[in-house]
Amino acid sequence: MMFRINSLHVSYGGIMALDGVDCAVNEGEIVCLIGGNGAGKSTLLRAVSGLVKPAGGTIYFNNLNITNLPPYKIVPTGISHSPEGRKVFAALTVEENLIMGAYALSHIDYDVLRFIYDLFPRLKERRKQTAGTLSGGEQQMLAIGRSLMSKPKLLLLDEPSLGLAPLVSKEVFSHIKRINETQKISILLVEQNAAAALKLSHRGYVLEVGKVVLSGSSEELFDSPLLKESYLGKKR
Amino acid sequence: MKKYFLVLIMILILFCACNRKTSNEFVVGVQAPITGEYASEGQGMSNAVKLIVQQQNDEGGLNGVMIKVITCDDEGSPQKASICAKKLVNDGAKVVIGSYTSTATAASQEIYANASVIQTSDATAAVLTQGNYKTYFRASFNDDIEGEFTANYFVNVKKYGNIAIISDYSSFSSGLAGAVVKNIGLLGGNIVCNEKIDANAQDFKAVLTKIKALNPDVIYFSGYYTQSGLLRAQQVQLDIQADYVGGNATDNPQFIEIAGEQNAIDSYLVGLPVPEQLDYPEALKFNSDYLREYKAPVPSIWTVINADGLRVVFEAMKQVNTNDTIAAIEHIKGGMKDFRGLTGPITIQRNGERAGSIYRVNVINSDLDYETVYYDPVSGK
Amino acid sequence: MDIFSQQLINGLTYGSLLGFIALGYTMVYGILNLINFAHGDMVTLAAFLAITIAPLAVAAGTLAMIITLAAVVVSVCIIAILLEKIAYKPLRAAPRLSLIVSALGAGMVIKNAIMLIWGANPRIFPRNLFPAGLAKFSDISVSYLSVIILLLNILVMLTLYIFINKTRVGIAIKALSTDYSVAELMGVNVNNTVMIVFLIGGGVGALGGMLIGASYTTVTFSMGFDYGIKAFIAAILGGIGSIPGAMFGGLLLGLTYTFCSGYVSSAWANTVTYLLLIILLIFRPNGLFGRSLVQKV
Repeated sequence: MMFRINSLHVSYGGIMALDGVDCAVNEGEIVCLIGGNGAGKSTLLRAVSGLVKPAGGTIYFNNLNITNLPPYKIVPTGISHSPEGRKVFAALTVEENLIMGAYALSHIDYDVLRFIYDLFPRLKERRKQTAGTLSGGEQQMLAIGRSLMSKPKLLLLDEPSLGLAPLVSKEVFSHIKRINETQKISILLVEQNAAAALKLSHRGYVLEVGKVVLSGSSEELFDSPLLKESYLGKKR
Repeated sequence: MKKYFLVLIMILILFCACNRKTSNEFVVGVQAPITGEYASEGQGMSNAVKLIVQQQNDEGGLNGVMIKVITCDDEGSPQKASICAKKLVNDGAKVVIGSYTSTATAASQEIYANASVIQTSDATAAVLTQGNYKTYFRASFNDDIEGEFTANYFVNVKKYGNIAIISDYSSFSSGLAGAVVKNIGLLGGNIVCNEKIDANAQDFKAVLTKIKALNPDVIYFSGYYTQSGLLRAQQVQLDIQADYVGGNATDNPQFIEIAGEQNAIDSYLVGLPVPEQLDYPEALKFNSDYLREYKAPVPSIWTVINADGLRVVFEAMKQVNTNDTIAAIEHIKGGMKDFRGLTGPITIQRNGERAGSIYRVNVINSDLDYETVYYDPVSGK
Repeated sequence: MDIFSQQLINGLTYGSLLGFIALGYTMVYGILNLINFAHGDMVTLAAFLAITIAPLAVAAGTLAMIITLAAVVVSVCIIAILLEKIAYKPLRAAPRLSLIVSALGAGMVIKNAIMLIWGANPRIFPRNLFPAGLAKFSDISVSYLSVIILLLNILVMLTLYIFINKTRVGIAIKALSTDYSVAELMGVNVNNTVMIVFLIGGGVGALGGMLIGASYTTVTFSMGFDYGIKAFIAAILGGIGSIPGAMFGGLLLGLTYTFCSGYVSSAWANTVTYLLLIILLIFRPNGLFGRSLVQKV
């Protein structure tokens, strides 16, 4: 197993955001985290990338204990985190944003840059524009592209469809699938749109107030009564 | 930030005010800029007072009472000056020597007057004797007298055609420049410009360049030696062919250092004699006692004038046979004539001003020594 | 015409000194959104360090100048880094106001330490540190030092501009100034990068302090306040955060002040200068080179 979290605890000022979470991602897998607001999904990603310090538990990546490493030491191990709300560097150009993505590498891999421009031709067209002038969907593509620049083995994607029109969301999801298939990058996906997320992923975990309440293959989760009731809504 | 600091000091003073002591000592206070820009002057004042007091104590004190000196650092600033004045009054001072700057002196006058504390200082601003504070007098001469002397030298002695005046915003410097300008006007001299500089700045080339265009025969500056040295250096740098004359606050050894030795040569200083130029026996003794005690020469004439102020008070108290401050100040302002001061005969007028003048013009010669080129025509040497 | 040219030179010299100090404010502000009020006192510290180090370096003969410059710049850089570690780093997540108070406090500590170590009297700056002398063109005098100051200013500005826009660390600094945590996610070592920014600010400030000392020969422990506040205004005028802005803001302030003193009234120079600059800011609130960052959310 390439990536494994054991009994992870995170607290913000005394409030438990994660209360003993176990979770794993295998090579080549897309795994999604499903849950309502405040369930702890984003916190889990932030703990993995080192932005918050866990109060307990361990995180292993390729047999390396990365639990208490600072972010700048985690990125080079092959984990890349695309944060919620895209957070592109608005004042920098599209290309400068992508170059920033490769900061952790000693040099820029132009094959990766070419792959990103192939995947998102609109980024290539606008590569001299400042990122602040892009549309929401383009910014999301830039955010994903930027996180690919560090050549990760595991990509953490936080709410890639947030605030995007349904058609654009669909496009983003198809890109994610393509990245997973062609680049052999494992993906840990946080997504509010549970149906779309399950359709995309191999396995999933359901989080409620900091605990995993259900896990299994996407098919199993799709059919589970809990999910049907709380997250999938009426049958479409 | 400064404000909070002041509040803090105020609180501390309130605490100190509680332990007011009464004792058999006669307390002499020194309010002087011990730190800050004028520190060397302030420390000279404090040293001189301690020396005079020590000599008086060696003679058995003042009318049989031993004398103690306490010092308060006002950094030359009016805010700190009033704090110092309250502190010294609270600590029982009967006579205060201070302060060096006119602004700091003015800020403390009322407090001393209300407490019947005799105050004397080397400050020269004309306003200091215009408040009619009964306990204030000075052994120095006010700026109007220096203004008159300077104007006479420029117009009647040197016969300068074009005169350029520079001052800063301090009350001392603008007061002195005002007196010079007024008296040059009375004598019919020609002032081509009257400029201001910001004493916090160091670059005065803009003003000097403007003056250069007016072809002056003389540039006169009424402020302190720090800016004066810079002005002289920048005048030379800009190649302005005019005499440079500084007022009495230019008279400080650091003027030469700041201007640079080569630049300082041929600068004129209007002012009082330097300590080494005083040849009265009392002055020679004071200079050598000071050198022996502090292993350094007397820093400036202001030190000697402050020593004279204290000597006048002691002499008056001896003559009236009491250490009562009211009786002593009455005697100083009415009774004493031609006291043998370190700086020449001293007579204090009813308004607290010293009669006569001891001004002279010194030029810095190529050996970097002062050479007197002109004396006050009225009182002579 | 001679007088005008001379005033132009006066203004450029004074302005480039201010620009030098303004660079330090702008660098740190760009990253931390913090006005490093201790910067003016760091500049003063550099001048005093040079007073102490220069006589020690005399033994090295012709290399004395280089050794003094290097020693002062290195010392001030180290102190700048310590300043960041002690006064700013613990407060990085705190409200901006706490940081400003911490900056003011740090400035006072440095200023008073200078007074305690070197005394309260004005001190004379070593005269042999930079080439002295004058060039004369008909009636205009230009000191070699003022040429050095202007050239050094342009050189430092271009170097920093290229460093920020073209190098890996420079782009990281830019990224950091937009968003700390996202820059961290890219693998930027935040502590090291902030340290580099303070190092540059300190180094440039140290040069500025020594150039002030050499230009005016006297340095006082409290001079950092006046230079600091004027350089800060210069940085705002140029557009705070902009590197060319710092230099041009300094020049604009220096020239305006000089021409006001020379052609309007020396007594009213400060008043008129700052009035003009306020008017400029009304029409260009972000300064000459400042960009308002309109972000799409």
